[in-house]
Amino acid sequence: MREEKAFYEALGRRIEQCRSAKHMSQEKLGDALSPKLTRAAISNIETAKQRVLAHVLVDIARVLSVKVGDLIETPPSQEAPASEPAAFKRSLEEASLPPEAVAMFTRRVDQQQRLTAKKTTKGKTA
Amino acid sequence: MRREVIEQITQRLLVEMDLADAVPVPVNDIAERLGLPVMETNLGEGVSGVLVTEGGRSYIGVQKADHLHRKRYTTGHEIGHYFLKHQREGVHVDRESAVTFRAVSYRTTRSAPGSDPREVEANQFAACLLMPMPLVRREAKKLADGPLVDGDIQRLATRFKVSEAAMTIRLETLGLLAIA
Repeated sequence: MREEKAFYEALGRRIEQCRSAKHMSQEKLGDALSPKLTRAAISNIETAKQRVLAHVLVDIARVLSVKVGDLIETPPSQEAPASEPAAFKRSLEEASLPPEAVAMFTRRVDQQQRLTAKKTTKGKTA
Repeated sequence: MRREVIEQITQRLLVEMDLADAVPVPVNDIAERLGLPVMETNLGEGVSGVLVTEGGRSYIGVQKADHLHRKRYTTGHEIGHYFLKHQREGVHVDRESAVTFRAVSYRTTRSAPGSDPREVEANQFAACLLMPMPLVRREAKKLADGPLVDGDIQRLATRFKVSEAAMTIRLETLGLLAIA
C-alpha cells in the first residue's frame, strides 16, 4: 500500500515537472486533454490525491510530448547487479576451485545472465 | 530451539512443494524448484560442495566423485545455506536491500559438524530435509515396534538414500535409538 502511494506521488511529481518545463498551467493541461479535465483534477493527480487512469496518462504524455514511460518510475531490478565476468571468475579462482569448476560456473552464470537479459528486453518491447 | 525451527522450515517447504510424503526426498528437484541449479564437477580435494551467488542468483556445486548419498546430503546442506542465510521466508522483497553481495561458501569434509553456527544449521537443514521427522518416524515404526537394531538403520538409510552415519545421527536426534 505504501509502495502504491509512493508510486503515484512520484508519478504526480513527474507530471508536474514536465508540465512546468513546458510552461503550461494545470488548467491548460486539463484543457488540452480529451476529454478535458478540470484544473482541480490535474492538481489532484499531481499531488497523488487522485489516481490517474491509464488512458488519461497516455493522453497527458501526448500533451506534454513525453513518453508514458518517462512519467512512470520503474522499480529498480530485483536482480542484483552482476559483477564483471572477469571479477567473478577471479573470485572463483581465489576460492581455489579447480579450473574445470571455475569454467563450469562462469559458463552457467553467463548463460543465466544472457537469458535474464533476453527476458528483460522482451518485456520492454512487448 | 534452533533445530525445531529448522524442522518446521523444511517441513513447510516439503508441504508447499507437495513432497510431504516423498521418500526418498528428491533433493535435486527441490533445489531446481528453488531456482538453484545443481551442478556436479570436480571441486578439488577436500571440498564436498559450494554455493555460488552471482547476480542475485545462486548455484550449487557438488563434488562429482562423492557417493550419491553424500552428494544428496551436500545438496541439502547448500540449500540450507541458501535458504537460511537469505531469510527467504515470506514473499516481501525489500528493493533497497536487494541482495548485492557475491559469496562463495565452502563445505570442506573437515568442517562438517564444526563450530561455525551456520555450518551447524546447514547440516541440520540437510538432515531435516532429507530425513523428514514424520516420515522417519513412520518408516521406523514399520520396521520395529521397539528400539531399532543395526539392520534397521541400514534399511532406513537405503530407503531415504542417505548414509548410515547420517541416519544414525538423525535417529538419535529424534530419540528413536535405544541408548547403548
